[in-house]
Amino acid sequence: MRVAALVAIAAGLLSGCAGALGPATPAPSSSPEGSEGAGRVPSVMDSLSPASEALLEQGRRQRRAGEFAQASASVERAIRIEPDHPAVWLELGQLRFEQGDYPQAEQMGRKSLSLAPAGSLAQSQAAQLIADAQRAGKRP
Amino acid sequence: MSRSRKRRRTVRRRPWLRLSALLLLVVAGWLLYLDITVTHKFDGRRWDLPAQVYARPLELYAGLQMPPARLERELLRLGYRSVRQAPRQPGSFRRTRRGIELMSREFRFWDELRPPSPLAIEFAGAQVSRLSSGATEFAVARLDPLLVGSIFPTHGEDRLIVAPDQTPEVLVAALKAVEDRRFDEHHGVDPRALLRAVVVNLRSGELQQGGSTLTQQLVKNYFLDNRRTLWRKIREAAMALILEWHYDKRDLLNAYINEIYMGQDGNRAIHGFGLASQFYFSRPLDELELHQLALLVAMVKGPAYYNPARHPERALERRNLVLQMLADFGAVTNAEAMAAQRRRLDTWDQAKAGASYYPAFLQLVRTQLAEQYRDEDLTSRGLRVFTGLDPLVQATAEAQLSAGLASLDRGAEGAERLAGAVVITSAQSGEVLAVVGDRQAGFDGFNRALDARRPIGSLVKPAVYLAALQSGRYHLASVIEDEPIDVTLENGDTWAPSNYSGEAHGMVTLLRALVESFNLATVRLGLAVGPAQVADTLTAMGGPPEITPYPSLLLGAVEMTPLEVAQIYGTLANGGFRAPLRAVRSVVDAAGEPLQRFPMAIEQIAQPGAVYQLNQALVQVLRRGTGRSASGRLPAELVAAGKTGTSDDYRDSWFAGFTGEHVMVVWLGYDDNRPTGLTGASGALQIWASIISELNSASFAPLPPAGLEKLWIDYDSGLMARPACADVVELALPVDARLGSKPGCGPGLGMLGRRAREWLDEVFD
Repeated sequence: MRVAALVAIAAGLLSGCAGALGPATPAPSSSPEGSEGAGRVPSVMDSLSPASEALLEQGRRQRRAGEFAQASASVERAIRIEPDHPAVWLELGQLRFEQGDYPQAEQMGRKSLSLAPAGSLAQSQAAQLIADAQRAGKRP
Repeated sequence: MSRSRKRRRTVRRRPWLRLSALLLLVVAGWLLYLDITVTHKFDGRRWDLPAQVYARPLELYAGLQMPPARLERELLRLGYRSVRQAPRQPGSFRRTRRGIELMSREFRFWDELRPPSPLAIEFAGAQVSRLSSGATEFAVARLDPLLVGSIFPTHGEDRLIVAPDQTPEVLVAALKAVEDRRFDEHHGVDPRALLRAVVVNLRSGELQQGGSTLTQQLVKNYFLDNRRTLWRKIREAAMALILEWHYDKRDLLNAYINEIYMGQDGNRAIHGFGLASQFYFSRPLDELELHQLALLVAMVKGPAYYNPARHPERALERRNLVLQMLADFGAVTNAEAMAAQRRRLDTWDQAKAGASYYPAFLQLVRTQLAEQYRDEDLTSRGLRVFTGLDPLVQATAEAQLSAGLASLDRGAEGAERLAGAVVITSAQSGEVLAVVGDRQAGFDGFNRALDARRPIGSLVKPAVYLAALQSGRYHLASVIEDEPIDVTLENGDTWAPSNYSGEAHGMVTLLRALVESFNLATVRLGLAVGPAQVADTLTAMGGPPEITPYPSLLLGAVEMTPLEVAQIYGTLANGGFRAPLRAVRSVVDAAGEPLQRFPMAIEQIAQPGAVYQLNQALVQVLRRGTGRSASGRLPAELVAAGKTGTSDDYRDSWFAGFTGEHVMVVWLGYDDNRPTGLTGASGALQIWASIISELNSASFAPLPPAGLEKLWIDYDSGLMARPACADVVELALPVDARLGSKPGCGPGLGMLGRRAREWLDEVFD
């Protein structure tokens, strides 16, 4: 194995591409988008559109009024508009949590997490929701 | 004893009395029978309301990609009137320099009752830029949804009930003027009209003129009997008298307006003016203009004979006659009638806008609702059902499927023609957007999208590779053997699969084996992972619950419907989250009270890293693999993923794939299972690609999950290589994947990053 690795590195050095010996740290994830369908630049998260923002706000009002079904309908409208945004799924997850549907709360958290860029606030919020839902689901 | 003998004697003495008593009894019995029949029908009918099914409401918001022309098309499809002045009437709009102004209709959504409201939509190029009403700005607004059909009973009668207060007065006047001038005076039968008809009929020697009152026509419609015998006429007249005796004129007229037969649409019978208005003008009855109402009244005499689409001259002539009669009757002024006579027929152009009615989608709605509702609830209680159907997507799919099939058929006819099906769902929420079950979309026949269970061929392969990637023993650049293999089956037989090309390829990467759909490598991989594991994966993705893990499963010897395949590929499009497919969003009762919602639900069924790797291969299928022939039909910048499928002897041609927005499955084949001569790529894929590009679908661009890192990999060998080297692809692979480097082409240390440091650590350990 070591021999193979040494050969590989030697080949790399000899190949002439080694001019730019970068720091041996993880390559920054903002590398140019590959042609292979690899995603957006993860470190920048688009802000939520005013439309989704308004629908989420409407959903919160309905949630506070105890109208969970209506709130759910509003948040789902936002999901249809911006299904790639972690905030809309997080919102639905928090709503499910409040409704006592912990399994779906956790799933929505996972969905939100899968859309949240590394190190973003959305990521930690999603992780928090997952943890809360798991804990609440275990309670007798 | 003696008394009875005596009576019998009496009767015998007066036979005429006995006869007339008997006759009276028979007539009385008959009348009683008629009374029961007709009142039962009348009372029953008043409550027999098919559930109405709505498409998704179009959501408008700043940033929505929608050119003004497309919004205008949607409004016309909704039957909105184009006007010149600022729109005041509900259901009207005008184009302005900055965009479109409209006055929406009152609509009871699942979650709110919206009164008619003005809305101004401004555009920046092909994008909505601002929504407002006066000084108020809106972030989001929805249009009223299109009524796409109803769930009518099996006898085929469909109707949309209108209440007396929704009935335009001029319609009532027109019906009286044309069909029954003395409606307000007679008692169900009009002797004068009858006499006139008899004279005319005697002269011509046959029954030509009806002389029927509206009440008689109503009776005739109830019992759907067009035989014009004298006996029927008498029966009809008797029933009409009975109806008039029981009910008042207003009820009868309203029943007539809702009952009368107004045309045929496949095996759906259009009944009543409410539905006729939607069917012929795509607009509610109370929004119709004089010339449109007159056309409907004109059609009462013979909906087929005066069909405005098939016989426009005839229909126009009779409509103008109706208008003249209206003026003579005094219901409108001469000037109004003449102005209306100058108008075009003005029916909604079904040919341009696609089918008016979506039987394939409605079948799915019915299936989803059947779990909670009895059939009679759906066909009679007047429920309103809100669905996710997108009429624009549906129309595109219908048009492209028929065009694609026509060009593949090259002039074949009848049963010789290829059949096809399309299912389109939203990529992340599992909503079904469009279902096409046949080349004739409006035809309510065999629905292949839901009912054709066919072998899926190579469409199964992603499940094999997902199972392998999830096992942790493989990554996408792992190398496997593509060499002949003999599999001993449980019955002792030997199964020797082969590649499509007939050749074996030696050592290949998982990537290449899937992208180029190698059978030998896939079978070897599937056997190594275990067919049971593959079956479980397929089920978890949304396939049938019990799949027998025969080795032949690995090459797709499992039968599924296009809808089931859409569920499976939807799970991949959704990054490993399965979202159960839903056609229905919510249901309200006849009074608008919410009954039920079908909430969005998801379940993560696969590791994100495994799904991400798999999807990279499915993107390559369209770039360089079995799906590359579609590249000419797809927008160059579009990233899409998918897989071709061809069953044994070319009996089924499949393509299943997705973008960031849509999941779509296309199936082509013959109903009698003859070979098509088409592969998945030469058949289904071509139609798939033309639909996707027409939809202007967004690219598939998921975020790489944690635990993967991007590397340049040699496509054939799976070794790391420099981007400048021939035939490399950039892949996100597990950070702990052990990778060799391509001799003479290996990556520099700078590109190796952490991987290099780990190796150096290991080397100098």
